[in-house]
Amino acid sequence: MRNSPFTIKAGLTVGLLAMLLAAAPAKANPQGEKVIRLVEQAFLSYKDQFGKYKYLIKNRGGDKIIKFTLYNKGTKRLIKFTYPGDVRGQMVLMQSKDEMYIYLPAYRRVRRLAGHVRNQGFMGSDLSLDDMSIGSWSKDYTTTLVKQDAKYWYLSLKKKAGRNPPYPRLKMRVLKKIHEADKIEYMSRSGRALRTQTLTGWYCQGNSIMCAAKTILMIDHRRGNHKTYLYEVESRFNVGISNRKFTIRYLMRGG
Amino acid sequence: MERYGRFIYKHAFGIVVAFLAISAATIWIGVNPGSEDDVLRFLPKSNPQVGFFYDVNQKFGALHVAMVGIEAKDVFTKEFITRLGRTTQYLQDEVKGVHRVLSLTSVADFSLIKGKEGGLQTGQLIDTQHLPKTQEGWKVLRTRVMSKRHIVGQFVNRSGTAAVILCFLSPKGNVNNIVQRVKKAVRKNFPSSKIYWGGTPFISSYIFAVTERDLRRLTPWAVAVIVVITLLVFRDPVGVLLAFVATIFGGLVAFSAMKLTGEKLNLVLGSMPVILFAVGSAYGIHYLVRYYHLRKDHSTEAAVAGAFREVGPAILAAGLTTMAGFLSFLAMDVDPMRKFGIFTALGIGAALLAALAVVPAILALTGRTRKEVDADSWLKHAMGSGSAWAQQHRWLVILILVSGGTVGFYYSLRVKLAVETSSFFTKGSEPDLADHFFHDQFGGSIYTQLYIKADLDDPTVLREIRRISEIIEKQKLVSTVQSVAIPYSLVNEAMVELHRIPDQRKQVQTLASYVLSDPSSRQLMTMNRKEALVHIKVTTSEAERINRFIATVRRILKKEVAPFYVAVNLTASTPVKEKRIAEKALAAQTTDHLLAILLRSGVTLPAEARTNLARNLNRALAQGRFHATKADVETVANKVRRYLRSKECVLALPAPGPKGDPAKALAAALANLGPAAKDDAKDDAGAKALAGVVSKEDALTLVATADPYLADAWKLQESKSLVHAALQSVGLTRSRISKTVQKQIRVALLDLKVRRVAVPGSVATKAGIIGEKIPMHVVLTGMPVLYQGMSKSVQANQIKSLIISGILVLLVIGLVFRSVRAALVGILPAGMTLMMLFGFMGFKGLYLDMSTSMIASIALGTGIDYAIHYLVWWRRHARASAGKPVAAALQDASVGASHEAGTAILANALMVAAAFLMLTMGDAAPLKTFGAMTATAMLGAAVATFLAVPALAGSDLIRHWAWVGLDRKTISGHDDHGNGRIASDDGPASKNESSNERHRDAGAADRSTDVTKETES
Repeated sequence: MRNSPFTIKAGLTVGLLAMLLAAAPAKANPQGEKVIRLVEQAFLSYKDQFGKYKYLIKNRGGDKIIKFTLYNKGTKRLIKFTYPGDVRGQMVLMQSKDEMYIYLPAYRRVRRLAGHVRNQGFMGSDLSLDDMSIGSWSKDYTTTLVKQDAKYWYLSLKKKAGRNPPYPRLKMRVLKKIHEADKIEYMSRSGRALRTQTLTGWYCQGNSIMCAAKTILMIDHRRGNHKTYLYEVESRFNVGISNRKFTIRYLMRGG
Repeated sequence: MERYGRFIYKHAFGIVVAFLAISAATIWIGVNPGSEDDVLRFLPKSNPQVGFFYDVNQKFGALHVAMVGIEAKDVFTKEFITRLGRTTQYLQDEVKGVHRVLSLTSVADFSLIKGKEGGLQTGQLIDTQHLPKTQEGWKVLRTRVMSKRHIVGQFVNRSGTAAVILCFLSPKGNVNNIVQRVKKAVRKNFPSSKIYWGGTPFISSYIFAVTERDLRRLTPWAVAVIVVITLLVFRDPVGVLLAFVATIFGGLVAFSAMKLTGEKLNLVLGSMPVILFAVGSAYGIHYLVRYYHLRKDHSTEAAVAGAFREVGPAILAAGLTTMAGFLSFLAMDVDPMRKFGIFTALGIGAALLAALAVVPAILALTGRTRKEVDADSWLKHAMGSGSAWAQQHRWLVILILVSGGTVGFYYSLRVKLAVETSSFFTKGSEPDLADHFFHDQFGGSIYTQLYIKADLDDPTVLREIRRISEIIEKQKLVSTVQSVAIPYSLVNEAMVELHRIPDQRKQVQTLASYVLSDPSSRQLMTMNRKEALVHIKVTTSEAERINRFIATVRRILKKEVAPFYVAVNLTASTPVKEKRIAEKALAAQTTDHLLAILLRSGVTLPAEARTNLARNLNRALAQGRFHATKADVETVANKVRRYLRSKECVLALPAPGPKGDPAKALAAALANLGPAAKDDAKDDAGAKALAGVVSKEDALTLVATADPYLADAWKLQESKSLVHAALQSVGLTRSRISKTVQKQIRVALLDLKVRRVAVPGSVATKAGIIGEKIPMHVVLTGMPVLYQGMSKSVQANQIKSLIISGILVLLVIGLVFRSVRAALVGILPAGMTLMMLFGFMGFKGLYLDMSTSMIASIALGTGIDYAIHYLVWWRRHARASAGKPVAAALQDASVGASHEAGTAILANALMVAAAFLMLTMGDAAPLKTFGAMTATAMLGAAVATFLAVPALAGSDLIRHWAWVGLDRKTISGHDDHGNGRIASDDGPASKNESSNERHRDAGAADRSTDVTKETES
């Protein structure tokens, strides 16, 4: 089950949303649960996805750019870093939220990472490996439709009891037309915004079924509003990605 | 001045209206400039050491780390860890201004997964969601946590009875507000625990809060004391109120100017109201006293103007010298001190202006009179007698003053220049308790740092950083050393199960992303991996011991760190000489690492151990032969088999069957080939071992992917064979060393196999080795170094401000009295007092710091006022004694001056001292020192005035004044033994002058009127 809006449609975003899940005993309303299911279903509108992305990390000492290629199929995801030189060739294979493999070309070996995925910014960005993993909102959160207008549904997600997503509360704004979340706020227990993700430049393919955002901006408010941009350079859906891509053998061959 | 007085009289109404308008304007602008609690602004950033420290720590975010220490019976209990986790999470998510929080429950960690699956488990060091449920489980957790060198002493103490939360604060927020929120959150979760607040933000906040509280609490009392003393002495409530109108005006102008320029109140500017009241009120009072005196017998206009004539220049000079004292702060390189100087001088200037314009104008409008009170006649007599005695025994007094000054000067040279942190806060205060807590439980709270600029992707650089760190770690005063080598070794361990710095540049680059993803690593290395910090925690906070330690570290750096290195690649084609030199360097580097491991495990070694071990390792390298035993083969085979059965393996081999275990077969086949097997041989052996189990292609894939594991396993076995020899060379046996340490040594010995070695530049140059240059720039910085820089800065500031204030004060008095000698006589009482005060500081071993360095200029600028007033009256009485024998004239001048100015001087000194003494009633240590020393200086200056001026102001001074035309009475045929007489000038102009003099001196020299008249006739 995928949950992160970005992953499924727009690439990496997926994970972002996925992790937001938190579940306190909150009262959901049927409309909220219905909308969140629509959002999740929207991500299942394609069989696979291939995309090229570019991170732009805004640092005080200068910007940093990281490029990678993404392969999505079902619940599996493969990220291959292509730039800069010191990360080129590194790959991350996500089998599930709790299990991933990293390929380290410099060591000529694959390392399995199990358990809780690290929740710290990856390569200095505001996105963590956890952000890039696959999750499910409805698994971890109860959803309430707070309000709506002609363009948006406004959702409030609270973590379910017994679940332990990285963020106990989320606020999500969903585009009614395409069932995609274009703004997600990751919040603390008391409702303080910790990070804000904004997706812009939406475009759709295949009779408006498959939609993706061209740009994702993640702002980490805890790091003095530190910004990471994620740009989609290229994205294609239903390209027929082989299952072999998501194997250790593929990793060991260096992709 | 008299003309000016008449001008005031004529335009009194306009002046009062203008005064009211300006006051209203200041209130409209606002007189509450707000406050600022950034203690870091006090850093003299133009000082190279301080500026460097500030820039570096700003870059690494180390300036804003708040340390919360929490005591517990046992940290490793469900209750404590749950609370710790909750607090950490709350601080991280809910407290605005906190960037990130590190504690046992948030610091990242990994554990290798034992058993078939392989890989590593990532997460928090202690996962609060999955806490142990049994006692045994807690024991295991404790053992795991306490085995981590980078955790113990950082987040938990060695006994497991105290934990630390590190909060990295935003540099932009209001530090005081943030730390208050942090405190509230921690206290809420640990209501019954002892909590300690350490680190710059808490100390800043404490100093600011305590000083602000003290100032807020004590300022009204200080003002009240001033008012009461003034009332007691002058017994004129309305007059006192008038005098304070000037002071209040000074305050309004200063504060509104601050508001206008956006300058906020800080620790030093907070003391401005007390200073303004203590110093600024004197001007109006001096004027009032004279006015009342003249008003008895004269019209309002004559009294207003006459008072100007008599005391105007003295008041002006006193005000200007005080302003000069404060303006000398402009020479300091500490921004808040400069601002303090500017705004306080502005306030004093405004108070002076009001005293010389508004107070006379109000008097002119009201025509106020008062019955003169001949207050404290006994005191007057006492002061008069004292001055007379000083004048009669001038050589004795001079001898005493010179001796006192000499002794003071001698001891003042012994004033300590180090910054002693304990002088910032009182015993038992919050930072003091925290200081002791972190010292006792965590090996200290003072850090010094090595700043390193180098290519941190280069493994040789990382190894060199580790080596330097470990050499420093061996020093006595060092508690812990944290360098970037630690996280690299840890992540390398996560990746390849070897706790060491990787061999290849590419590997280091691979690990960098993971190292930097841990926020705590960002205090050790910049994101661009060009700069690093090594944090050295020292076990003492005593300034002198720290200074000695710094000197030691500097020596080590000079000896051990080369400005550049030359890379030598050890290949078959490397020239023998080059190879030998590189191997020798490699052996030396590995030796230092091994010795550090042994020392850390509690083994102390003799001095010659380093040489022996290096020689032995060098020999081993030269021989370069490894003979694998059967046991080695088995161990290697087991390691390869473990990989083949893990989830990380590229292919899932069939389970063991009747024909055996294919994984075991393949592993054994590969291991049996030995450490130097060629690829073809491995392929053949692999294909053969897996024949019939998997396809040949899969078998070859398995061989290829198992190869790194095979190579690592052999390297480890090879280094294992060296452990015994290594231990033997330092007189140890394996039995004396734990298995864990043996394993560490084994891994450390892998460094001998690296193929790229950094040879110190000087060695390489000498040997003619040409290769890639590896630059490395290492600078010692950190709080102790900062303190050294600050001390130097304080010393320089002290000298600069003292010289400037001295020159300005001399200039003002010199101009007023038109005499260098008078200026020197005038400055001497305050100067000698200061000398003795600094001598006292040196004698008592006190430190010259920011607060004590302020005293000199203030005391000089303000203390000089007494001498000015005294000299004015002294001159007048000396002049009035024309015709008398010199000795008698000088005697009269001394007694007369004491009578006229004595009460005002003493009263002023008392109220200033009392006001500053009020500051000693608080908790802020710097304020207490400042208050006590300023009070002493002011009292001392007053007393010294009564003794020094009569002793030093001789007949030649009178003659000098006559020469410059200030006085028309000269001494003829005098000597200092009373021969000769004061005579009047017989010239034609002198008659008019004499007449004017008489008019000017109406009342002023009333006690000697008869003498004057006699002389003039």
